[in-house]
Amino acid sequence: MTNNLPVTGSVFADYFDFASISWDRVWEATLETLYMTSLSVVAVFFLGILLGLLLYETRNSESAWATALYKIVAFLVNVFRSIPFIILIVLLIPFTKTILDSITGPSAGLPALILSAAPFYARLVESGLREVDKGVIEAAEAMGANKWEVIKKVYIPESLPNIVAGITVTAISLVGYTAMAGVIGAGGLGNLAYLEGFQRSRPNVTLVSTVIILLIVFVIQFIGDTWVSKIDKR
Amino acid sequence: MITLKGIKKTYENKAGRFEALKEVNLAIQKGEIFGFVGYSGAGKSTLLRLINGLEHPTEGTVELDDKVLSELDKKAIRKERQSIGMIFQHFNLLWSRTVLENVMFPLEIAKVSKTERNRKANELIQLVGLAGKENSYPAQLSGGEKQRVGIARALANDPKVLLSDEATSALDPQTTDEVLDLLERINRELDVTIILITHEMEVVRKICHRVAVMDSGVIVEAGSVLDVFRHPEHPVTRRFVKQDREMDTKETKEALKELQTLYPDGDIVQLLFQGGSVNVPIITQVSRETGVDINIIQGSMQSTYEVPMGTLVIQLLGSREKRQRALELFKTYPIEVEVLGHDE
Repeated sequence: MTNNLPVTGSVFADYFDFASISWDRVWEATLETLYMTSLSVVAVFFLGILLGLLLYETRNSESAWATALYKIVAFLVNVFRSIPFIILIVLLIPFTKTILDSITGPSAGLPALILSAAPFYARLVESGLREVDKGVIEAAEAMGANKWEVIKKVYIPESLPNIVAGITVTAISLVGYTAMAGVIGAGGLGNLAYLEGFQRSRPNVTLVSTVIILLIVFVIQFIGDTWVSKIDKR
Repeated sequence: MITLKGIKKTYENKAGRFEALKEVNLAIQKGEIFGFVGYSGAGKSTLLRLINGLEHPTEGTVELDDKVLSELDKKAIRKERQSIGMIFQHFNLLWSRTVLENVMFPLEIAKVSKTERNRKANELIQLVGLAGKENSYPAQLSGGEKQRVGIARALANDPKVLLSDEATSALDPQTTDEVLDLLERINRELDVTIILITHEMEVVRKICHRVAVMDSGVIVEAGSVLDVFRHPEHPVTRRFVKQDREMDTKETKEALKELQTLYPDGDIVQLLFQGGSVNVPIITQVSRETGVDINIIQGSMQSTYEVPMGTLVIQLLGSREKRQRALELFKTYPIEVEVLGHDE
């Protein structure tokens, strides 16, 4: 090690010493981050919409069963939304071990990522559904549409900009969570920054990891914004 | 065609009981335009929603042709709704769909094939005068255009009945007239029974054949539109009929004041004509026979579905005896005479 005692002037040199970076490791970590993010986003998208619809439909229902279901789901949603991610991931280790037969590698981070983001997204979906014009629902019912047709043809398309904007926000927080998932050995850019950058005092690795994560976030934001403005005809 | 028998509707919640409809009995004939008029809270909206089964009566029955709505199961009611179109005050179009797709919506619900959906929707867009706007989104349309889309959508499954929930209340006067003309044409050409609710007597006067005036959950007066306008019995009906003439009266009052200062020695009289009931030149006859001079202050026509109604405000000038005789003579004709102001 040449830089155990950083001197003034060499600080920036440490950050920008790109020659000594193992780009293979960086590439591998980037792929791991992308893998965890994309799989969890897809799972959270479907799970969140289902949960959001469930919350919306059972809220203020006249049936006692639906009210009970709402209370249970709402409770679970609030619990999982409130547990700090870093604790949730540790808490879920035995569970992850049972279903994946492993607690390391990018897949090991998925259960915790999905369980913490799906409830958050479900609430976003629910509030999006609440914004759908009640008059339009009435119009569809007056045409003879059944519950499923109302959901498929009115609720989903009429709240789609909210659903898409919601998944964009959720995907960005998921990128942040994947960095934390590194602590249980799930890999990814967060893990790389921690192991290489922090523990081995290589700020150049940390900087590269940061820049790549920022790029991923910007790309997600750009895709989300473009998609919303394309579908929003209001 | 539609029979309401002993309808009562009560809402119950924590705040207490609310009787939206107290006792409603009514039969609506096939092919007519029937209007319900009343202030908000009178129960019109609830009544309209009982007809397509969006609401269910607490007591009484709704009969559609020979089917009793409350005896049908949910699926059968949904099927029945496909033959009842509905249009709304705020149009209730899907912003996410184009004009064409909005009109196709009820056809999708009715499981009509794609080619047939396209054909039917395009035909209806032509009918309501929106050709060329097929691919526009509701946000790009004016209020009147949106309501035309609403009407096309309501007609998609060839309904027997069209329910109109304050369909013109959010539109300006000119657009209101255009939409009313369209509704009248639909009633005439497609033989669709139209049931509309409104708080504007003008709408009733222009297109309805019969009207029911509602107040606090009951029908206080019902009959042919002309009869109700000619002889409003209930105070609520009188208020509605008067409100329809309000603009005219306001202007008249100002003109009245002016004329009373200009010609302090006259009688100001309002004559109310009904359609072609008068076939004699009243004004000239009265003037000739009694020797009074007649000055016309204001005249207006209001069209109804059956015949037009006219109002004429005149000033009688001459000696008191002559004027008295003129008034008596006016009263022998089939018109309504009302003295608005004297010089005494």
